[in-house]
Amino acid sequence: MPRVQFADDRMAPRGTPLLVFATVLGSLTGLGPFACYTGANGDGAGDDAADSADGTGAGATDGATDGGGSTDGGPGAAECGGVGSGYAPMRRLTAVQYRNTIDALFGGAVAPGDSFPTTSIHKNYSNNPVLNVVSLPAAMDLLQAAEDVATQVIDDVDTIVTCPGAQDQSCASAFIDDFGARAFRRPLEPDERAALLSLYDGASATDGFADGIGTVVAAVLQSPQFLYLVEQGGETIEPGVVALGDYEIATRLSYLLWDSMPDAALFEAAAAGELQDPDAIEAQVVRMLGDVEQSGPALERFVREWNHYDGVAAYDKDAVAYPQFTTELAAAMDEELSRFIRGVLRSDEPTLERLLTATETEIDPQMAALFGVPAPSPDGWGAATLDANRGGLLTRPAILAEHSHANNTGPIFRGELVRTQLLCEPMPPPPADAMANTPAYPDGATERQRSEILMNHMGCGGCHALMNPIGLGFEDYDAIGAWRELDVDGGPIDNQGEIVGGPEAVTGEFHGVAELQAKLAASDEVTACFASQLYQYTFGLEAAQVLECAVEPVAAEFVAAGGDVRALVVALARSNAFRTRIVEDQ
Amino acid sequence: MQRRRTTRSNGPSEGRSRRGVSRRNLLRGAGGIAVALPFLESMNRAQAGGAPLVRYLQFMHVEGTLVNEWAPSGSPDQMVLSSILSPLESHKGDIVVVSGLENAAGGQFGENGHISNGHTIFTSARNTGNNAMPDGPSIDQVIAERMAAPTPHRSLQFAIGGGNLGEYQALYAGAADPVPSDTVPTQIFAALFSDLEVDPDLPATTIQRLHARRQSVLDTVLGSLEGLAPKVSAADRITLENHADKIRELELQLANEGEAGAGCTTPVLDLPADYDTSEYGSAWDANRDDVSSRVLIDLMVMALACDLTRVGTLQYTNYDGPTFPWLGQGIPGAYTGWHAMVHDIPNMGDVSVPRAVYTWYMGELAYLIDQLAAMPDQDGTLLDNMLLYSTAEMGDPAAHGGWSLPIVLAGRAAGALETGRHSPQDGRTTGDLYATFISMLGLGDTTFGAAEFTTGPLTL
Repeated sequence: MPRVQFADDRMAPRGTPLLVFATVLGSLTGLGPFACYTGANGDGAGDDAADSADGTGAGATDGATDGGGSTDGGPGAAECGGVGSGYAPMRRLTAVQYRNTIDALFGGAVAPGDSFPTTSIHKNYSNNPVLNVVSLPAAMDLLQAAEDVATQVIDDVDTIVTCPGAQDQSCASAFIDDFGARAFRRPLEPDERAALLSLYDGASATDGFADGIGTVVAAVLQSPQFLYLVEQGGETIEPGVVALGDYEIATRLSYLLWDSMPDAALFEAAAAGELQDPDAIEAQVVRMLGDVEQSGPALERFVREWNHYDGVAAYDKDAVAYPQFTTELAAAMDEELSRFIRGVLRSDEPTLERLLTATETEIDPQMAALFGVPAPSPDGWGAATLDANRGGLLTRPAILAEHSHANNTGPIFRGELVRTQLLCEPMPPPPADAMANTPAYPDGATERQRSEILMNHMGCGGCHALMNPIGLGFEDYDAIGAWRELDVDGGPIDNQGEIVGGPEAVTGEFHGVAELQAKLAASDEVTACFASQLYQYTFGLEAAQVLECAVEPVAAEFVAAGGDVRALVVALARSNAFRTRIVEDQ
Repeated sequence: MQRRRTTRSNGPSEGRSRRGVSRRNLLRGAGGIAVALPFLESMNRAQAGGAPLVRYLQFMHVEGTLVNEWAPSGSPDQMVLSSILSPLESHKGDIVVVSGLENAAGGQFGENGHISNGHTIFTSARNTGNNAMPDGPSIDQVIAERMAAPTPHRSLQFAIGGGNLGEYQALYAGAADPVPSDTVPTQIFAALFSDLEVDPDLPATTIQRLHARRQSVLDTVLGSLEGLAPKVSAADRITLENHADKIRELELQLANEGEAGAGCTTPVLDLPADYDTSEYGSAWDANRDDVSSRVLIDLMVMALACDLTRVGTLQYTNYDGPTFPWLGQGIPGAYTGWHAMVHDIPNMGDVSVPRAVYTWYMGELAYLIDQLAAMPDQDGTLLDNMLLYSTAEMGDPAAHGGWSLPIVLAGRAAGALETGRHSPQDGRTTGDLYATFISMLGLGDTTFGAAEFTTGPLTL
């Protein structure tokens, strides 16, 4: 089996000069200077800030391994080095990944179980394992979802299991080998095969072949090898770091790019031992990105989760203030967001800059009315080019509505989105007593007036100065993302915003979201931040768990490639971090 | 108001005789294990000096109530029920009306009025995780865990009007650990009753056969978890060991048989022909709540009677869109919807329409109490041996405020609750009320929720 020289790879990542962004990487790894408040409040937030301020934190081990959700300060450079491997906690399939995987496993012949547990999102990304532990109700839900699928298999066994001869133990054994290997995403171990065959024997003895098969399916779909992305790795390439096996690399690729299990071509490449070679990985990535039916939704999900967008239901908004915000309009906004993201990512210029500035989208009559432009088609969706005030992700109505209150705009939410997701500067949660000590606001105050009061109230300004002034630059857009001319006091909108602190290139005042996005799009730090976000999404990490030396080469390549998202995915998949993992106390 | 049943039961006497005559009809636990009926033992429990079985059931309606007119008048011992509470008149001796309580956590949760109230009404907990999830468990889950009853289900939760709870995800097993709810009557029936009484003369269905093999399937899953755990890193091992613990708990839970009471029998679903039982069908349509409410109440009562669980929740979920067509009241009228109407209650000269809706919810509560009072249990009825707690997610609908919650307690909690009274509790909190429940049910130390929202148990 070919073995690559990981260390060489890292020192010369595909011939690109190694760029060092001291401030970017500091903030990428949670070491930024944004200890905006200190003080113990019992939830760890104060500790966070204090840890990250001095850059030592509690170290990598705590941050990466504490299943209880520690966000202790980021690891220092001392913990990485060598090939630049990173942490990769075991991830449970998300609800989306479960549905896609069941579809792929049975070729669409059975419906996924309805009761698969809801996926909770912790610290940005749905594959973060902290919240998605198996509780007793979740164990019951997993059982019922597996039985739901097993029932369909039993009732339709003749079409789902093809036996060359009789429906007997020999056919069942072949099914177990094939189905088990695809469900566990690697060939079965002898003891796994024996346990499943024993289960088959017991059930089939009393109830026949179909029940034997169905019972095996019910067990496989509840097994940890199916439910979790288990990465044991193989060869130790330096102390504490193992190279992943080919099947594990295939699985990382398929869930990153497709939100689903590996297909036959990936399994073949893994079986042939080809996936240790970065060039072979790149070829797979190019092939998989080309399957836009699968890669489109997966990358779109990343963009949505990156923007902290989880969908806005009609009931999220005040029906008196926004009677036009119906279920139908909410659905249209969601669809427009999809079409915008996929449009950029499928275009000839799938860059971060275009995600932040593109004015091309697709709209229907409802969205046309919201945007105040003619509908391209009287009863469906069609291409439209909007003005600069409707360019980029941050002016999408769905995103704006998500980051708003029920009946007014949300400068805090909007500013926090930019600060944490585009600048990669994590904000601590409010102190425990914050909501009990909110200031009094005069009736009818504008958000700008309220922000002034808040930032001068007790210690609130320490953190809110990092969020509210950015969010005030979004005041042109109301709580459902519609353009507005007048503020709540009847005066004209003031759309001046300001980024306080942060990378030098983006610091300072701006007017409106178009100008803000142009600034962000031109920033190497924001570009590097996007790479870190994809890295967190890939491995289910919190920002504080990202190791500088693991993500740095990927971010550098992404910047060098002009922020091309496809180049980023290739760089990530080729990186040492993608092909290895740090192994702690086994 | 006409009370229409949506399930039929074979009736207690028929159920008893069927099962008394012959052991051919076996009661199966959800684990699929056929067992001899425990009927005689449970009937004799009280006579044998054992502690009575006590159940806890909570009932949550939505959009508060008319806080200015809801509370009873008269003295606490001679309460006169308001118009909204009038459906409970025949059960006046079975209830305690609790007025003036506040869910103090709702105002401190930092989300919109529905999320803040919906996620704290049963938890009295803060939200410090930046994920709109409360920091602690709901009272039903605490009671269920402490009861640790030998029933097939630790708790059951039915959502009337749709199961994707979102804002009204009210139940949590722990911090940020939401407990899912069931919604579709046919799915609930299949999960709970499909193998309750199996006729050995009929071939078992696919799902019955799968249920019968749950233990061996879960044993295989457990073997995988135990085999894999030593091969992964420390944090991942904790995840797998925790998962394995839950599988062991589930195996024990599924092997439980409960102690079915005299009224236990397999209900027969009797839904209208146009009630669509597919996912996102009629069960999600709040304008079918008149049907969904009755059938889910019936299923819950029978689940309690059969001792499938001793802790349950019935909650309405749609506060926004229902037009309550069965009331014939013309909602939304001039408003964009029911939700918009309640926001404007202070400006409405005539509140007869919202009054009719709030009175309807109390009618559903009365129907639930009727069923509990009619169900034989131990040496009395289910109502005697339970604590039933009814509230809305908020008090004042116009402000979406958590004060002046419309709380009704019912049942005698096996003698721990003295009923037939109005209990004003101005200035006290839901945290205090839940501490009271824990005390009343004899379940250990009596603190509940965030410490700043409670001062200890109430004197009801």
